[in-house]
Amino acid sequence: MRWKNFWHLVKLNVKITFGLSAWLYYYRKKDRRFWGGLGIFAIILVSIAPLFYLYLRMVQETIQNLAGTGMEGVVITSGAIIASILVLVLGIAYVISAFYFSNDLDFLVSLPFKPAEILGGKFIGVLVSEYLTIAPFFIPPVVIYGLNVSGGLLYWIFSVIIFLFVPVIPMVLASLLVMVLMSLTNLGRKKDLLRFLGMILILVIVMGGNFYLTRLPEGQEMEFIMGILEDPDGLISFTGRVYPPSIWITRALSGQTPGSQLSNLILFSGISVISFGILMVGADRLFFQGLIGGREISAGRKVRPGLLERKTKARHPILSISIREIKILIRVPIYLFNSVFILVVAPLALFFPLLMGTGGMDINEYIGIVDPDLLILGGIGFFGLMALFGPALSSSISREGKLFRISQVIPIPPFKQILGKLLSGFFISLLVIPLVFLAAILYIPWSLGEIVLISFLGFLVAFPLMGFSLLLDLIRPYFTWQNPQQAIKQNMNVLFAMVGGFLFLAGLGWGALKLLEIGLSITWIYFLIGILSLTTGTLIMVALFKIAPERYKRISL
Amino acid sequence: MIEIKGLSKSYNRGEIKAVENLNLEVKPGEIFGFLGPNGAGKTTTIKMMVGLLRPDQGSVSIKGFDIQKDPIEVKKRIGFVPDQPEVYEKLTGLEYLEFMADAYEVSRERRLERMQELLETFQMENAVFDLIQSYSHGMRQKIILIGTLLHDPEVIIMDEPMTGLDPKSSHALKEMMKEKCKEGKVMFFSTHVLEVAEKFCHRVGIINKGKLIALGTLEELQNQAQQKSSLENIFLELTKS
Repeated sequence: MRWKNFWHLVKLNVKITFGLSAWLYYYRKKDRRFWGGLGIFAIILVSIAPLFYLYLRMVQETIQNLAGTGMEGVVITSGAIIASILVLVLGIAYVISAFYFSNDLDFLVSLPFKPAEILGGKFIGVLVSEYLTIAPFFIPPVVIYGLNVSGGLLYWIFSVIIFLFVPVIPMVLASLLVMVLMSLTNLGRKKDLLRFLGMILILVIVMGGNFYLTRLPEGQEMEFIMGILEDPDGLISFTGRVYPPSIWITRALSGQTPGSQLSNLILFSGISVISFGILMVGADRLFFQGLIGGREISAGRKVRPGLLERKTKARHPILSISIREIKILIRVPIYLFNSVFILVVAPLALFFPLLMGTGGMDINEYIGIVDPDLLILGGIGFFGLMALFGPALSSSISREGKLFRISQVIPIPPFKQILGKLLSGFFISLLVIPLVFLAAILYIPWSLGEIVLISFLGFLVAFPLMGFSLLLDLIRPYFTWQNPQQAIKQNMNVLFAMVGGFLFLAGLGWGALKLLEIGLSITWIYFLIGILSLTTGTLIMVALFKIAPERYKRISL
Repeated sequence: MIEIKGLSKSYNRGEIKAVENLNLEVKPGEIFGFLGPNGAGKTTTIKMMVGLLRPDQGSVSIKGFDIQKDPIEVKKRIGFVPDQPEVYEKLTGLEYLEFMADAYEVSRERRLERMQELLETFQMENAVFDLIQSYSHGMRQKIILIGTLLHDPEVIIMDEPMTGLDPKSSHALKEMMKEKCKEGKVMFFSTHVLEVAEKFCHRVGIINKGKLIALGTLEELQNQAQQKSSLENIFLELTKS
């Protein structure tokens, strides 16, 4: 590894990841995009402020409740674990996209750089963006704990060092897993499918391992919990079992003696540096194996006569747009993972504690005591939530990238293209129906009629959310992405669509509960939900159709 | 058939004039070559012609339809080949062609007939079933060309169409252009290959620093130049400043 090259590549990747050169250019040219970007940043801060405030309060209350037990440090352990798991889980998609699907790879590979230098540069580029992801989760516990225990100068210095190292180990793990996956699957025509399945397998292993490590011994739950609570270090050790470096982090910041703090800091930072070294050694051996030839697919084979006739079929332009959307979505592993697979992962993550039976209550007992009307409303809300989780529509225009010019020159009126995109979102939402059926078979005794009602109203509720997502992306598309992951993850429209849609859903849910409380019949409530969603959705569609022709004309790439 | 009037486009709040007061007319059955050095304004002009860029001033009308006022009517009548062969990598060649045929509402029978003819001309009969991501630069250029020609457009606008094509495909394209112009269709293309423009175009226009500095047949340009010589020399002489 030549450090000078590595440093050049780090600078290049950080500039590209954050679009720093473009920002400076806009600033110098007094382009309104500079201030627009700052405005967007401010809106993000304001929109997440209420959630952030709740999190701060929760951390403060936890510390107060644990005051005097010597276990207050567990907030740091938890913060470190949340941050690290986020980096590991999100990192898999980030890393695969940055390492293997960036637009600049063909160019970089042809330059006299070693594989480890290219990969190292990309790694740091992703790492810097991970700081932004983990900051809201890790900094508050550290700062609140520090203020509560009146931490000295050393505490704050250690905190900064630790913050810089927190994402390193999980990202190295994600990178190594991805490199092995990409090397093993770099063969045959179905490599994209293999890679998608590999990503799922890695996630299942990570989540399953997590569950396995935190489960309580069956039949002795109470004794086990008492044992944890009696030992001041017990809670930290138990919580930290998921991710042992979180214990070193906690002890480095809340250890009894300065000696123990320093030794844990050295242990944590040392292991982080060593893990990065291992990654670099691995990169020299594995990186190019998965990369080179990764985009090639055997071509030019002889085909059977008559194949063209059999495969040719005329379709309505709207349907053709939908099919194009869905085909591209499912053939790019990153899009498939973020837009479709999330529809399976999100419900599992949401209901995981319930399915596993927490607080000593079985899910069947829990469902037994809930009002059946509320369960149906919950089912309808579930459809809405799924429409929020899938960024298929909130990144639909952005994902076209430079190829948006094709959409601009074909003679399909923009409103028809918008309808085609919405239709594709609708097709993807259909995936939620089997989940509702599954829930009905396994846990909730819904009749077929109730499932039909849930699906029908669920689609009506999802309608304005889908329209809103598309509207946001049409108003402010993000075309300058370097890899497919950025088209979704660095696309603020995805976040805004989620926040806006969530507010709509929360308002709808709150209204439905209030109406139930005052004794309005459930049939009327269903009717109102349907009418409100349909009206809002229709208004959004009118707005979409009105601005689409102008946007398709005005956007210049 | 193509009428460009007072077309202007500038960037950076008017600091950079990419195209300045361009006036041009291309008649049915004409092959028109649009020449100019790098950054002269060729691609900007073409982008305004096909609706990818909005002009600051002036208008472009094709077969009597204004691209700004009736964009869909114009788009139905034109075929556009961009300067970069960028296309949906995750679709097969056939899926892309099907998409384009659907977009131009070409019937199944007609598209099948056109596909067979064009795929054979450009030797893409086997590769059309593969993902475009497996295509070379030239193959991508060819699949875009086929997609553009599927609906048999009345006006074909191409930005550097020969780039990346192998000699056989390049020859096939030129032959096809001649044939189409006999049918009264219009070809408008930009190129850096002056030899092609010289042998092949009925008229050429030379643009430099956003301004059209020469327009006419080769003979007319030779008369405009200080000495009668090849198009290359005329080009160099006119664009040296």
